[in-house]
Amino acid sequence: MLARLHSRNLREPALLAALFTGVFLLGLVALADGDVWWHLAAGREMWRTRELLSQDPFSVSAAGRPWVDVHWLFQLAAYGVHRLGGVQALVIAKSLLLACGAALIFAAFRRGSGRRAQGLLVFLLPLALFFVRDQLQLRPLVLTLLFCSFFWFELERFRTRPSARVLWTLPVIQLLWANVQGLFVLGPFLVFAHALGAVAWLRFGSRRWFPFSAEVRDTARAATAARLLGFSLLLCVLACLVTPFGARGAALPSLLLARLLPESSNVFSANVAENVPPFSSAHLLPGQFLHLQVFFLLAGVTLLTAARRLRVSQVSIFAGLAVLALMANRNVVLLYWLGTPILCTLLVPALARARRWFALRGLPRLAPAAYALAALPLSLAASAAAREPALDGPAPFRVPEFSAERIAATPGNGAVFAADGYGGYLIWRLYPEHRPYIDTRLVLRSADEYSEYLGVVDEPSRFDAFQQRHGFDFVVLPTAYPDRYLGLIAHLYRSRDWKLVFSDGSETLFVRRDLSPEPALDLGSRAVSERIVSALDRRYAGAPDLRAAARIQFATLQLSLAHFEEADWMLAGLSEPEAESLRARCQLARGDSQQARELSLRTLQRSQDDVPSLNLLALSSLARGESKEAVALLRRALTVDPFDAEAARILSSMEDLQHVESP
Amino acid sequence: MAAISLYPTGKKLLTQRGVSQRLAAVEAGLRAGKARELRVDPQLSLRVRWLAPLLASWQTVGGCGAGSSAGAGASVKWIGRSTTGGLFQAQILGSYLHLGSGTGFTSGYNLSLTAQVTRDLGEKWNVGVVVPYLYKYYRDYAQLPVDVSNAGIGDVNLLLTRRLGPINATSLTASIGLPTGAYDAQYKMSYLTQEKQLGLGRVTASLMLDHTLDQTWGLIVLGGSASYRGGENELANYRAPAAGLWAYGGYFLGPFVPALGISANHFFGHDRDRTLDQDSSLTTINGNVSLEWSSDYVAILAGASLPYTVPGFSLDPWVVALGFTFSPF
Repeated sequence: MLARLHSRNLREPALLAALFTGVFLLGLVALADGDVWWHLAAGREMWRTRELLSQDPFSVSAAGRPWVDVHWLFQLAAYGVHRLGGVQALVIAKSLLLACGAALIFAAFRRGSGRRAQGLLVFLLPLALFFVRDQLQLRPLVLTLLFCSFFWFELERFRTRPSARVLWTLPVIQLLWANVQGLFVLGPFLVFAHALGAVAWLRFGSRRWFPFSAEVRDTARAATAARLLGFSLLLCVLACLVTPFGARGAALPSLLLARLLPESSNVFSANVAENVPPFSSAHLLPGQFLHLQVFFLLAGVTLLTAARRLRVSQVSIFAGLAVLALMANRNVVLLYWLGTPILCTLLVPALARARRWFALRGLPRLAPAAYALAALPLSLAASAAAREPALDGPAPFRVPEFSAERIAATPGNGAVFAADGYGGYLIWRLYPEHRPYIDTRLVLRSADEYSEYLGVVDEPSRFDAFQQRHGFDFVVLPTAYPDRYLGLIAHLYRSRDWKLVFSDGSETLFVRRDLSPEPALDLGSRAVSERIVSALDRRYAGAPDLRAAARIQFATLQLSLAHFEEADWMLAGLSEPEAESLRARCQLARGDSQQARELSLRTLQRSQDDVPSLNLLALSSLARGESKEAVALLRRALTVDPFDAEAARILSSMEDLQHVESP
Repeated sequence: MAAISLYPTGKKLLTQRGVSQRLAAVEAGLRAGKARELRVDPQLSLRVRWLAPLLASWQTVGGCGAGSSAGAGASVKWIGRSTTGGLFQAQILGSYLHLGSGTGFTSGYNLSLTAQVTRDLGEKWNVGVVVPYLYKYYRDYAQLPVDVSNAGIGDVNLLLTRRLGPINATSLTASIGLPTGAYDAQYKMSYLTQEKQLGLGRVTASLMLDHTLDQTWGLIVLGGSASYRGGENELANYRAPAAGLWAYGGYFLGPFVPALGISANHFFGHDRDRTLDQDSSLTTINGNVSLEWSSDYVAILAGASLPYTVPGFSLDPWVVALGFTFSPF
């Protein structure tokens, strides 16, 4: 079989099939993104009114403001697909687009020495995408990746055949791209990088110090290539202006880029999870971006070995995308998408040398091992796809499905205060009867407005004055993803003006007390807990992981509302480390530090570096007045993970207490 | 690439060291009898999966001002916020000196890439090293139909800065240049003229004073320098001492700092190439413009300097530069 795969006729289709399948499987991710819902709502609204949207009709805080909705074409297409086949069709369409994009990159390697890079691409690209598959959401980004691939394909073709006939498609695709997503500026950037390379070669190519190789194969045609690329760049830039929004649409990327600048004063960069620089968020989720470290290391080694085979365009593209990726973790996928093929091209000669080295020493050939290795990303992708929840609806816990149903069934058309991540779904389900205060279209909000919103969430006492200004009828908040809203939930739960009318542990719905006759939900009542657990068990029957996660979330909610006994009951029987950690916290909060210690010690026996358990033991030692032991435990915790937020807070509290008592 | 790759690991090690010191201080406090019973609210730990608020940024932008001394061999001065707060500060400054594009005696260009690494020693002192890489290209050398180029490491400079005043608004920098640049490069058995060499083969020294006036809208930097440029070497090449004065104003525009400045340089005598005086300007006045963009992590500066000869007011070779600075870990 392996021998047959070596034959050129079968090798290429087999590799292409493996890449296509791998990337397609990686795209099969349940719909966890909040943005897609307002995209769908916008598509539906445009379809209904037969007009483009130029103002925000959806939210309370930005109602009537000008909206440069450059995504309009994506929104209409997504809504069309949704009408045809629902959420499942959207996910499948997205996966197909991703797979087609990968296939285009593969096809770009067909000419010349690039052919040898195909095998490497089949291994490295799905592997890189596997680590960022959570970013492969149904967003206009998917089309950006496809268009990037198309530009890559055409520009590689141009390298071997520098003629105008190859480049004419780029401005046409650019025109589409400019009406799909704000990242359309990548199109001119890719052409610019190649034009820069061609001009640099013309100007300095004969100099000894110039370390780059020629941009086009036929160096005699370098001047023609530079002119054609320059002309194509001009056309692509002009195509960027052909949107319903003209210059405002063309200026949008710079506005979006400013929001990604990783500065402490930039509220959008510091508070939106996907905008955080990848190496800054490493202390929140340790090890999450280890793959990016490895990628950069691989890139460094590759560039060292590449010597004078590097092209200016490759360096420019890689550097540009690396800067974007280091600015915000959402851009890591872009770096992997185009950076990986660049590395593959440059790695091929080094691998060829390795192959010769093996052959000269009579060592076994690498090919069988390479084919076995190539199966790794494919099996990873297949296993990830198999573990995904059902694709015919939103991912569990991510959208307020049941709260939206309850609000829809309530008469009236009051405004909703909701987490920004919930806003899109509420628009999709409730517009035009109800509007959320905010959603994830942060481009419509100023930094001050977003800071004010975050201030209300972080300091719940400010909510009452905020409510007086806006007069909300409903509040919908999540307990997890993120868990930032727990404080506000506790505030509303105790408020005389609001009552909790629904919760399943992951979402909470509050209604203004004077609007609803039904009694408030008492989460400290065993009967209520039993009823909710029974509903969760039915909902997640056959999915024990989801069932456990749902119970843990519910217990977290109860714990934050000081229903310690009920939280403990909710967690009974769960063996997940997180559940045990929460149970220990229940005991500590109830004042039973001995029981809390025993639970934590039990966890530590299984995993001696479990930081939450070490933290809890430190807290329990403090509760017992054993400060020195607490410091020793905290030292252990912070040695394992010096970024752990809980341990850091305990340490800060200890420092504060000492300072208070200092003379 | 390696630095980027290793950054998280370095950051982790440094954070570990920081928290270890804080814990040691708490332990010392306990030994001294401070707060023996530290009662911490158990509600502190309700959030097991602590995802938000996401983070405070890594470091704040450093103090405004002149940043550090301009890289050796470059005439574009870094005006803006720059970055501080890391383990050390690294600055890469590339500059292009345009000598003319015709076929005249002085046509050609000089490229320099200067790497400067500095580190604070407490609040008042700063040490650093500057390593320049020079590429000098001359057309029609000695009016022959031939171009020559000379490239390599120039004179490495060691820097020592003392900050003065209650808010460190003034800084005095002493710089010693080590004779690491080649001074005896030849073309066809003949030494290149001294300005085409990468160094003089002699120790050089300079003293530079900068005073920064921080304003709410921006900053003003005033300063001056005096340089001993090496005197005469064994080939009888001579570089005259020089002095300079400057004034810059920068305006804070979000993350950008556009700056305009003027500087004057005077050479106390003409440089000599093997006993022959060279026809160089003794006094120049430079108009400078730069634009800095900075974040917490990196700062980038693009700038240009246009020198005019006094008297006569003719344009001397101009310089454009692009710099990048960061304070890792």
